[in-house]
Amino acid sequence: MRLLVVEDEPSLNEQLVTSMTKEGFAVDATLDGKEGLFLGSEYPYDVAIIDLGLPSLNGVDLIKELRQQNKDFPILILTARENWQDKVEGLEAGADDYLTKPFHQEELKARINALIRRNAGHASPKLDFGPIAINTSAKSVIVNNTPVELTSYEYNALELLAMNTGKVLSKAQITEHLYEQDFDRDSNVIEVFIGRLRRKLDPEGTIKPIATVRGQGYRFTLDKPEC
Amino acid sequence: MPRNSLVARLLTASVLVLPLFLGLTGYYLNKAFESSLRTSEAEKLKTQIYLLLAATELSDNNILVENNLPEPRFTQLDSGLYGYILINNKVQWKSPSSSLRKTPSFASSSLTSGESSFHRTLFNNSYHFAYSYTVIWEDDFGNENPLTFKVLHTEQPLLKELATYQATLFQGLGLVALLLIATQYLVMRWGLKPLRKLAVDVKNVESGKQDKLADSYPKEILPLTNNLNHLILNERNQSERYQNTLADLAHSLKTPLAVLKGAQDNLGFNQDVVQEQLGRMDEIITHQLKRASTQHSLFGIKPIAIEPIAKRLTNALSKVYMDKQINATISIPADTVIPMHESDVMELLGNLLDNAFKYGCKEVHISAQTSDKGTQICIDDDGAGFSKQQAGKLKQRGVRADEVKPGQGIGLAVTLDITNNYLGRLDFKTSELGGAKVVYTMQRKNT
Repeated sequence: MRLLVVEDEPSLNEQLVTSMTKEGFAVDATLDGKEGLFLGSEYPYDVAIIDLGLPSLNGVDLIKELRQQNKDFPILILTARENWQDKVEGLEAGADDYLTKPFHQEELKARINALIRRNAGHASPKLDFGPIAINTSAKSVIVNNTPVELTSYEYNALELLAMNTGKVLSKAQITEHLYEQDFDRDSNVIEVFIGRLRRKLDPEGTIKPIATVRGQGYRFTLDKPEC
Repeated sequence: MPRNSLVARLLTASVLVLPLFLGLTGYYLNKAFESSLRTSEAEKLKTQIYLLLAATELSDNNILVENNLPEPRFTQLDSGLYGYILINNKVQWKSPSSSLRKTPSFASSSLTSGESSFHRTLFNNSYHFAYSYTVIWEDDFGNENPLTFKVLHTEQPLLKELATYQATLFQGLGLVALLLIATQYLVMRWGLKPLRKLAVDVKNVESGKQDKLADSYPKEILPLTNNLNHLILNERNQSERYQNTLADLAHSLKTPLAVLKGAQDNLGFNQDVVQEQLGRMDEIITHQLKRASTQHSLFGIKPIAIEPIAKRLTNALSKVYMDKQINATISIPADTVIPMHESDVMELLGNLLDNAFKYGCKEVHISAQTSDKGTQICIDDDGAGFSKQQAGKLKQRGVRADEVKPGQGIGLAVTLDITNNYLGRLDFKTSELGGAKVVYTMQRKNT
């Protein structure tokens, strides 16, 4: 999952990058509002954390601009201002949730995961696809009631596919969601992940959760769970 | 009219002073007129004396007066004008008009020749004006005889004329008094009009209809209104400065706190003390900031419509609590307003609705109504609600009904601060929806 962080305080920005990278996100970060707008416009993020008080372009205007460009990834506002006027303005501008400073990293992670899940139309962090169950909160996968160990990238690739169940995602799209902007892209890496995922999720080849659409990409085949 | 009204004071003074002033004027005018009537009467009687003198002859010590006197009233019975001629204080002749009247015994006259006197005297039971004049009359033999001519005239015509004059005078003075009072009242109303306008202006500033007092006051009041405008502006600026300073201070501390918290989370040093102190610092900053931001001046508040704010908040909170799929309903007439700062209404409703969304299951309802007594806002949810004991405790600052959901009880503390600031009331009840019902009541101010 690819995450955009726009926070002007360098220490906090660095902390967010460290913490969210540890969580398995591909994180692009900037200290500047205009730079944030450029990144948000150019790259397909799954979620963004945006501070309201930003230099050159404030958070509310940045969110408005992104929404005007039909960028519909979920946005969490990070703000030192706790009054409802600011919170409502941020939410009206197009943000999906807010978190006031200071905050616990765990709460931030939970909110981010909830936003991604909600954006994919899932009400609960537990996504039940029949034989495969994914817990987006614990970032764990159970296949036929047996926990399956996945690497961070494998999990992220699976979650991305599961969140877009039924849709075909190209290798480039998957790469862009899994890696930061300056990552040296090699499409073979995705093939390797998909291969590993298939082996771990369906060693006997009975479930077939990921289908290859020739010339286009991959599709998660299991039905979307009921909300 | 109010007891301390300036108009009432000035009118009372006028009503007290004016009768005294007009009474004295009437008294002296009456006196002057009466005096002039008496003088005129004396002159008239003197003329009658001269007429008598001209018609009188003395022959053989007998007084002869022509029958056809030029003044007919001397010959008409009881005409009110009576003439007498005395020699050595003995009546020698009396006019035919006094035939039916008892001849008075005139007191000895001390008048010498050429002297005259005018006075008021009782004659036949009624008052008359009497004019006497003494002359030395030489008879045919060269003897000098002191003749005293007396003319009496009833005072009734003079009294009648005086009464007519008095009636006209007092009617005129009464009319003048009424006109003066009415004019004074109108002049006072006109003169005090700027003060009434000032009162309306101050009320408008207080209610937020205008920002400051107008500049179009008379020069006597202008220094006062200018000073008031300075005061209003200073008060607003100062309040804003305090809030900005506190907000800047608090917000500038928030980010370093976030960094510290993040560092602790990331590095994982389990120092409970650091965690606890960071938490406390955060709470103190949040609390003081919220408290400062609610300490608005209550001067110049524009009544604010509740419904749009409730709509914005429920929309925003529906987004935040999307997972819960809460059905938020609003029953607030569009014209329902409350005399509070918009930011305070936002904080008050924001905190109460946030709690309703947080603790409610599927239903949140907000309603408001304005009556003669004031404005009442109710927020209902279908959550677990709270017991009577909890409801009582919730009115204490910083107290939470639970320790499960995230939060610090600051939202409710801020709500209580706002409630107290506006002299409102917050009641915690059980909702018909099955959960909590929070009722905010703001009574109408008696202005």
